[in-house]
Amino acid sequence: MSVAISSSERGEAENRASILIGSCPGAPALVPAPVPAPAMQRSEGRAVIAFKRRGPATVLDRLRQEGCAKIRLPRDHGAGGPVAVLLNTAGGLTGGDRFDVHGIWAPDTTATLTTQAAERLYRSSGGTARVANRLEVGKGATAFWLPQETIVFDGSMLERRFDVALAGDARLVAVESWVIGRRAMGEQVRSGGIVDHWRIRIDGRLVLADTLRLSGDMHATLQRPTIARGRTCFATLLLAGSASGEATACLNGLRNLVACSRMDGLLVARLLAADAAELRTGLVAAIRRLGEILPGADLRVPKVWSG
Amino acid sequence: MAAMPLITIITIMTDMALLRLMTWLSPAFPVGSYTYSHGLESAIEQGWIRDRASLADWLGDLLDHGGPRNDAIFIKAVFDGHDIAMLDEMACAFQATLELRAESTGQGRAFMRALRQVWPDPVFEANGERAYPLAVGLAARTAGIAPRATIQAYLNAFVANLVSAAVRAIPLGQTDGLVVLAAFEPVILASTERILSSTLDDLGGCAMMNDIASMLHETQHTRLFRS
Repeated sequence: MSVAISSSERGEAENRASILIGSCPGAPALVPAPVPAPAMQRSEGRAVIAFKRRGPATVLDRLRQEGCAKIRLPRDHGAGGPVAVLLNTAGGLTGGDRFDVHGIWAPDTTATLTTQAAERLYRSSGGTARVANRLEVGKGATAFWLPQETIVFDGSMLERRFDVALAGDARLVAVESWVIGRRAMGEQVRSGGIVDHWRIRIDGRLVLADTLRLSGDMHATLQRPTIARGRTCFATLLLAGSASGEATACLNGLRNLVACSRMDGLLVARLLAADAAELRTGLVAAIRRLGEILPGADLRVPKVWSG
Repeated sequence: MAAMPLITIITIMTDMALLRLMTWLSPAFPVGSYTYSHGLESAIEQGWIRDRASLADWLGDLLDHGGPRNDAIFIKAVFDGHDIAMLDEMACAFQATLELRAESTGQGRAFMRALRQVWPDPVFEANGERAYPLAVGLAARTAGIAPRATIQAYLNAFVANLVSAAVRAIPLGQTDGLVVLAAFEPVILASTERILSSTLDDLGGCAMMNDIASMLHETQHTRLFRS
């Protein structure tokens, strides 16, 4: 189903592009004029997906997909509502790419947005990849934002936004997870920069602002005691908009699994792990536990996570 | 010639600024800072901070990637004239744990109360409850204190408070604590210079272990501190 191309294929594509432009590796530089930046194969994707109520069920209201953004909507969903699966057909992100997702939950709907595969963030040869994920969740609706992890390669540049507007009694479970260099592949991220802005609003009031900012020698930074003590994989799990009794039950249920805190209708959990598999195991356990506690929400780990 | 009176005025204001900063950011100022450890007590309990060196490492990370850096950016934003209510909402929202939120709002509330009682000003009347860095920024701006001095004093007070907490909780010798404080003088000056060219777009960080320490502190059995 996935049409992702590997990093080496993508690298070759970039090499071909630079050859076409006329860079000639062995030739003496006769003209010291500035070399124009090679024309980048920049990808752009934009998706809008809206959910509405039909009787007791949540169904697709509208869907728009442009560029490298695609959405699959498998039919076999249960009481937890539709599970929409986002794909980036460009096979990853690199400098200059854009990817925007806008999700809209009508009142009293329940639906999940996830991704087909881990998002790969490749070395930038100029510019920053920009991703904007925007969710609007209406009264009484429940949104599950459960993308798979972002895998960061050396030299990659990303600025991502995650803006969520919740109506007063809407509910959100969101996760964002990072693999900063795959340990099994011996990768270490020694350059580049990632910025990930989370802004969660309930009835217009900003209740959580969380900006991850890592740049330069990220591998070294993650060794630091106050940062990650050598773990290079991490995630934030968020529950927002729950009534306080429910949030307290979730806090008590999660506490022996992950470090977490509860404040102002929010539950924030931070996970750190030595590798992607350990992070995945921790996240799956935490999401399952939340699913057991959240009444009527039918929160489940998306099937594509194990696909 | 025209520059002379201006220099004189600045000198007078600086003298007053120094006095007020020393008072407002003194450990004796009644905001209860000695009851907060910003998660440090938990990091000590976990064995992550054991001695002078590991304390200095922890504090250095916080200044580079953690809460005090964001606080200083918020102070700078107060001087830049951003809307205080908007900044207050942001400053609170940027605290990712219950106790870090309480540390900021609790000290801010006490700070504003003391200002209203002792240095009355319409600005303080109009700003009842503000996150701690905003309260300090507002007070300093209103008193004509420069942003550089304000941020230097704020960061120094933050470090001094955590050193004091560590001296009690590790425990560490008084002299060891002072050695750490002295080592941070150039660090605080350099951090301040970076903050002075920052904007709200620079907020953020990656002090994840500090958040985790603060989360674990909520269920810590023996506690001297509220955070």
